Amino acid sequence: MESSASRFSRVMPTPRSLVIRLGFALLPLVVFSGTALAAHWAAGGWRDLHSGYPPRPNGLTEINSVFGARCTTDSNFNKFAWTADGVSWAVNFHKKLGGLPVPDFYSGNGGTSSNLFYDVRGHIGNEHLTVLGGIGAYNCRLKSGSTTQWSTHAWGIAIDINWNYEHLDCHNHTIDARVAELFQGHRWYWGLAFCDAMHFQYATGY
Amino acid sequence: MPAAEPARIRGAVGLVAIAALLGSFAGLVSAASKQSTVVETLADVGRITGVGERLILVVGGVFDSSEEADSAAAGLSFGDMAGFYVDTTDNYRVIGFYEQTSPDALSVACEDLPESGDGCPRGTSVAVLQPVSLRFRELADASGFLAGPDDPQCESIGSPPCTSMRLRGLLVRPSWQFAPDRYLLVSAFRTRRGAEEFVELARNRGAAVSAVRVVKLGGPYVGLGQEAHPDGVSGPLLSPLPDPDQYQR
Repeated sequence: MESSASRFSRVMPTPRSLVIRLGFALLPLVVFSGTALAAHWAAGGWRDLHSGYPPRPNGLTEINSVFGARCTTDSNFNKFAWTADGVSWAVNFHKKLGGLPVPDFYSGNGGTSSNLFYDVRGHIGNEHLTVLGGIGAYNCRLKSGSTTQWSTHAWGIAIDINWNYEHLDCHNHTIDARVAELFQGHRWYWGLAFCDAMHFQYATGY
Repeated sequence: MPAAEPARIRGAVGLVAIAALLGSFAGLVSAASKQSTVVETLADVGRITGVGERLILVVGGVFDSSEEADSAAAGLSFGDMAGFYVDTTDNYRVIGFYEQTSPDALSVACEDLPESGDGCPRGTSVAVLQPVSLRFRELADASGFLAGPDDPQCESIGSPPCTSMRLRGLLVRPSWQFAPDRYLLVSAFRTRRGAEEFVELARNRGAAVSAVRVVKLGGPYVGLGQEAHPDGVSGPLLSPLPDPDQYQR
C-alpha cells in the first residue's frame, strides 16, 4: 500500500532536520530576546482563562447528559489547526470544550468554554512544549474491537497526539510529561491508564 | 332518586379511573417496548451487516489470505478507535467507484497560517491536511477512467492522490469486479460524507485507501453505523436511508 505519510515525507523536513533547522532559526532570538521568547503566546495577549468548563462526566450516562448524543453537529463543532512535524493537523472537537479565539493566533469557531484550544493548546504554545505529528480528535467510531461501546472520539471529547510515534504500550511512550500534566490540569483523563498514551479524554469511567 | 345519583356518579368515576389506569399501563408497556427496541439496536451495532443494501466501501487493501489482511490491519494504529474490518470479496458486487477530487494536503507558507510559532517558523511552509472530497463514477466509466494515465502530479502535495492507480489494483478486468476469494480490509458506510470522513482518518493514520460502491451480498459486520446521521442531530446512522442514491452519489 502506498503510504500518505511517505508522500508528505518526500517534500517535508524530517522531524530531526526540522528540530535542527528550528534550533538554528531560533538561536538568535534566544540570545537577543531572552524572556520575550519564553512569553510568546502571553506576549500576544494570551492568558489561561479556565472559563466555562463543563463538569467532567464519569461513565456513559453522565457523558450523554453533559455532552448529548454522539456523532452530531455539536460533537464536531469546533475546528482548529495544530502544526507538528511539518504538517498542519485538523482538530475537530465538541462545542462545549472550546471556541474562544486566541488573540493574534486564531479566530476560533464559537462555543462555550476556553478549554481545549484556548487554555491547553495555549499553554503548550506559550511554554514551547513539544507535540509530535499525528493529532486529531472527533471521529464517529466505535471503540477498537467493540460493537457495543463508542469511542469518546465519537462525542468529540477525546484527542490523540503523537500518533505517528505511538503504539499501544503500557510502559513506553513519547508524550512529554509536562504536556500530559497540562491536559490533566484542565480535566482531561490520560489514556496511559489503559495503555493508550496518545489519548486524552474529557471523561472518566468509560 | 337522589340516593342513587351519587352511587351512579361514583360508578362512572370508578370506570373512568380504571380506563385511565389501563390506558396508562398500555402506554407504558408500549413506550417500554419502543425504548427497549432502540436500546437493543444501539447496544450492539455489530448486528448491522447491511446485507442486501447498496453501500460505500472504503478499502484499505486486498490480500490473498485472511492472515495477511489481519496483519495489515494490526499495522495501522487507530488508537482506541475501531479501524478496518476483514471480509472476503465474494460478499460484494461492485456497482461504482469514487474518485478523490481533493488533494490530501496543500503546501502553505507559515506566514499565511492563522497559527504560527513553534511548529511553523516564518520562512518555512507546512503541509496543511485537507478535507476529503469524493466524486461518484458509474461502473460504466471504469474502463475509460482506469485505462488512462494518472495525473503525473498525483504523487505531489497539492494534487489529488493517484486514485486510478489504486483502483486498478482493486477492480480487475474484464468483469470490473473484485477478484473472487480474496480478503479485504474495509469499513462500510451509507453516506458519502461518512466515507469521506473515514478516508480522512485512515489517510492521516498512514493508509492509502480507495472507495467503491457495492451491493452487500452476505458476510459479517464491517463497520456499518459508524457515521453521523445526515440530519446532524440524531447521532449515528443505524438504519438505511430512504433514498441511498441521494447520499451516496
